[in-house]
Amino acid sequence: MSEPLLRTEDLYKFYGTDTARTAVLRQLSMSVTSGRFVTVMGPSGSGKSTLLHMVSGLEPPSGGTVTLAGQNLWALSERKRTLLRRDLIGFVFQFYNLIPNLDISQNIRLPLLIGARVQPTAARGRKENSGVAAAAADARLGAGNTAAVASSGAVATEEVHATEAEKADEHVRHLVELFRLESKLGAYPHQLSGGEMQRVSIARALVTRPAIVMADEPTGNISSSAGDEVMKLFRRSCDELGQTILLVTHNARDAACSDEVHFLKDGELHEEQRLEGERVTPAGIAASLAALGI
Amino acid sequence: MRLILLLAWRHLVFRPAATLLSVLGIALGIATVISVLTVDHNTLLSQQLRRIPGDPDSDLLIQPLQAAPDSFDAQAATLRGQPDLRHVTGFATGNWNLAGGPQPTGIELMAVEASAATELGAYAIAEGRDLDFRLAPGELELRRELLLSPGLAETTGLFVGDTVRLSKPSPRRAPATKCVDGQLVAVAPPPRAPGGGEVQIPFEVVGILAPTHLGYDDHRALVSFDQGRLLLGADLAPRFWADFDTSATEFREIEAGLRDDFVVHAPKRALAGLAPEEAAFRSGVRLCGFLALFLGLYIIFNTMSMSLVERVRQIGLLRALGVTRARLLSIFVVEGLVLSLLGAALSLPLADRIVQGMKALQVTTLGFGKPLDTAEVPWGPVAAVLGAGVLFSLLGIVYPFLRASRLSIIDALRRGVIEMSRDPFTGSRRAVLLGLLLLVPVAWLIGTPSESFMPPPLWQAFVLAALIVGGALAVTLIFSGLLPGLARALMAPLRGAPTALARSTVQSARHRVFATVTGLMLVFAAVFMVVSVLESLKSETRRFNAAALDERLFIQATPAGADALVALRQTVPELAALTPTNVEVAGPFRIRALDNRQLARGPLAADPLLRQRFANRPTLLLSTRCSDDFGYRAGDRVTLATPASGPVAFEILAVSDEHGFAPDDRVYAVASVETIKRFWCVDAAEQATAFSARIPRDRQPPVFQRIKQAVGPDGLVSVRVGEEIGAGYLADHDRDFAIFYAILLLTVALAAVGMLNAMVISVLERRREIGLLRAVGLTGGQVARMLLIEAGAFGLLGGLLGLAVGIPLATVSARALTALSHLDLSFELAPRALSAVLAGAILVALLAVLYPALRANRLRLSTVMRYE
Repeated sequence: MSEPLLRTEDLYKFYGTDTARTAVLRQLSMSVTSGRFVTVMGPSGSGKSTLLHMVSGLEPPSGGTVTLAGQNLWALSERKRTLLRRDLIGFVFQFYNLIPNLDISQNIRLPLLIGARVQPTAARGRKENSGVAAAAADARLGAGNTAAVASSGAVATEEVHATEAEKADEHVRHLVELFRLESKLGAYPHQLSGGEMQRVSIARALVTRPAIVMADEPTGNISSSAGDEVMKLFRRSCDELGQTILLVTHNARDAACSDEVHFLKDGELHEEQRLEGERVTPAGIAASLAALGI
Repeated sequence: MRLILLLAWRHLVFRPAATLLSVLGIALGIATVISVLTVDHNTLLSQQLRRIPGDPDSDLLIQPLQAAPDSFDAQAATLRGQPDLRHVTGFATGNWNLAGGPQPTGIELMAVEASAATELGAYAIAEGRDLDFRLAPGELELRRELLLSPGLAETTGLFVGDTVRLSKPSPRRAPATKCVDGQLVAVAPPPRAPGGGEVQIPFEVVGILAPTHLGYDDHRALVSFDQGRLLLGADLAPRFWADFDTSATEFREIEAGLRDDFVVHAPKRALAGLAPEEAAFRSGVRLCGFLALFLGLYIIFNTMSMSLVERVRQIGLLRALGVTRARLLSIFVVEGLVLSLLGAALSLPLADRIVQGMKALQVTTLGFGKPLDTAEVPWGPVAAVLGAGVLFSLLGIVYPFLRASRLSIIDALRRGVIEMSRDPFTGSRRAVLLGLLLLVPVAWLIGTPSESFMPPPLWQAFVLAALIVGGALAVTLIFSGLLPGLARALMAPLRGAPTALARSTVQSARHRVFATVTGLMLVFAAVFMVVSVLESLKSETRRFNAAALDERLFIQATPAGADALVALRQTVPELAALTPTNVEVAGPFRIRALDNRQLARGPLAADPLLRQRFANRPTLLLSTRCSDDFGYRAGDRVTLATPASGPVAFEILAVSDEHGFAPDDRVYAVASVETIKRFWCVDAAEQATAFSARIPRDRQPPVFQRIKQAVGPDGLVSVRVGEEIGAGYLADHDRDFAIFYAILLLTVALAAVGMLNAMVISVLERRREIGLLRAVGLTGGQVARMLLIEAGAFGLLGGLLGLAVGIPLATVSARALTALSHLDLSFELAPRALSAVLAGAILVALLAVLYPALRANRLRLSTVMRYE
């Protein structure tokens, strides 16, 4: 088994003073393997967003370690951590967080402007879909299959381009096509619907083919149909591009699209309820939630 | 780099109105100061250009009271021994004839010492060489050299190396007379050659002067002073030029030290606006200008802060995506630089427009009605002002950026605002703020190099004013709860939810309260001070008018109007006793002739013996300003150089403005008509063409009617009423202060913009709170009322504090101006000024909050409430 891309060991977080503490996360250890679509699920207030913030370098833990791509994230200087975040992590927030002064094309390219580079797909490798999860994803993909076929051809085409800029441009075009944003490139965020903005946000997160995409309740602020579309895109990027994804959500429908689901309650991971592969189904998730009394 | 430029540029272009407002605010603040500096610079230059072109450009012209040739060396030694005098140069002049060209030419022969060229720079050589000043006495008759002005050389056709002949003019062409005991008597003619012709002395032309300073005159020739002694002999009446260090001493100190033996004139000072009260006026104008700069810079600071407060979430996003702090700072620095450089660039043409406008209106830093003949830009101070503008723009970005970047990324993403601590004025921030507050007086000192001596009263006033303002600001900084507490107290009488909300908000927003209220305080303190100083000046003028102008008529006859004047006096008996007003002789101050019949009123009215002494003895009455300026009091004696009797000690009988009147100068003395005739051989009764008469107010209407009928339309005699002249003086003060009002109007506008920015920031910071209030039922009108109540309280507090600071400032200013101008300028609390300050401050605050209130009303609840 290969070294996990992301690993936490005894991670914990509390707020308040020494005499009046509130523990948000307790001794949390988990790992994410490269090319996997992993979901951390839990009710509101369970600490899942806090977990995401700590493993992405946005919020320091009170204790424990986070190792990303072999580096102890919180042992790095702030500058190195920032650069690591730039090069290895793509973010999808619940509230899109697009730059209002930039058009859609520029928002998508923002990580490239910051200085991140498009990572080669060869390093990713294709992921072997586990059956049930793939079937669930297919059910959601529906008419989008033709886009998946087109995207594989585009991926192959990308690898023959010589210059970085051309590679980046080609990848952006591919994402724009994939996310059906061709007609929106010159528009500004305030001119888009919530679903469209979230698609832009995901495209931005994927533009550099980061080592891992971290998504925090990406469908929490959009309609269910838009949410379905967003999850389709995540699934496709994992399947077609070998993208590693860490999703936090309280939505069972969203969690059912992933390869494995971890359950967080009251700051603790309940690994006895962890689901993987074929067991990642809406019914399986519901059963785990019921067992945890959520 | 591309990211930096893209984000910075996009932000500026995406909000064109906000960008334009920022650039305009910056430009206006800087342009105000640049225009004040430029107008002041050109005011001085224009005044200096109006000097007589042919003079040597020295600071002082010194005339011995005893003008005897054999006293010259002792007098020169006395002057050269004065520690404050430099470049003391003796000279003398005489009217001679020059023969050497086609025909003899009358010239002014000027004998000068060597230092005229070497130290004073009074002339330069264009062709040939300078005079040889080292000739021994025995060589002077063998080597007679002279220099010609270029105009003289041209008209006579003379060149370097030519020989000319100098002779004194014959008495037929230039009769020589001398004043002796009131009579002009003839003097002995010049020596004549054995054949009966004029004695002609040969001279060699050794050089031609450059056409500046002494070379400007078309009829001037220069010889060495020693040569002049030989030529002029007993007629040598030496005088001296000298310079003094204007930054180390003052003209009046020098004059007072020399007045026993010399009459000291300051030709440049009289024109150049360097008199102490003028320096005070100019200093006041420049200080108002820098207040405008300070407020402009405060607006820049606030505008940049506002820009950042709006984009805290953006900062969080960029940091989350991997932009380092340094790179993030670069984005905002570039933005700040673009805005400030655009503003600075715009300020130059804007300043030019303001300067052109002031030039067209003849508004200068010495008052109204003085033309500006030059258009030079003082690039040194202007560059300093531009630099300060750019620096503050960057500070305005950097300071809030440092605050924003210290927020956790999650907080920035979630809350999207910078939440100020309960007490932001702690530790280093307080020190930085106090340091910034000191920047203004330091900038003023650096940016306004001393072009004239800063007399002690002005320096002391400046230090006191800085202590008053600095003290007020320091107290509010140190006791940071003071201003919010006072604002809450002012709101206490009001009731209702909006008031309660405004009071609670004020308590926690100390920084905003401080920034807004102190901005208003400074501006309206300046307004009150200026209005009070103007009122003091006008009060003093009213007192002068009452003494010198009220119940008087001033009658001017043209040379052809002598008969008409006689007829007028016959027709209107009240005009029988007229006082001549335009016959005067020169001394350290102008001396006018007074008809003794005028002494029936005034300080000598009750004492016939004094009136008799005034008529028959060398005595003077001084105006109050003359007395204060020169330090003379009743009973003192002043030595004047008189043509008839040389130096004569005149007794000062009284100090009063009752007699005599000078339209532009209140520094004068009066002597009897007989005294003027006796010592100066000037017959005032014959030579006067302007007169004054006193007409009691109750008899004025019928007298005016008869005068009007008698004068007729032909304009040979004009009559002006004293009250109208006095009203004109009062109007002059208003016009002279126009420049203050113009600058203060701009600073009030800047204060309003600053307050507007602060309130907008407040709305942005509180949008979630406002959204919540609206969501639970507060109407848009109530939200607007909350902001208006807050602004009204700030305005009232700013106005009250403006008075609290303005009253001591006005007192200090009045005291300094009194010491400088020797006018009685006591501070008077004018109700008009009080109400103007309070009403103005409240109005400005309310106007400034209109847009923020509108913006608060437009907040989309769904957007602002969307937080976890």
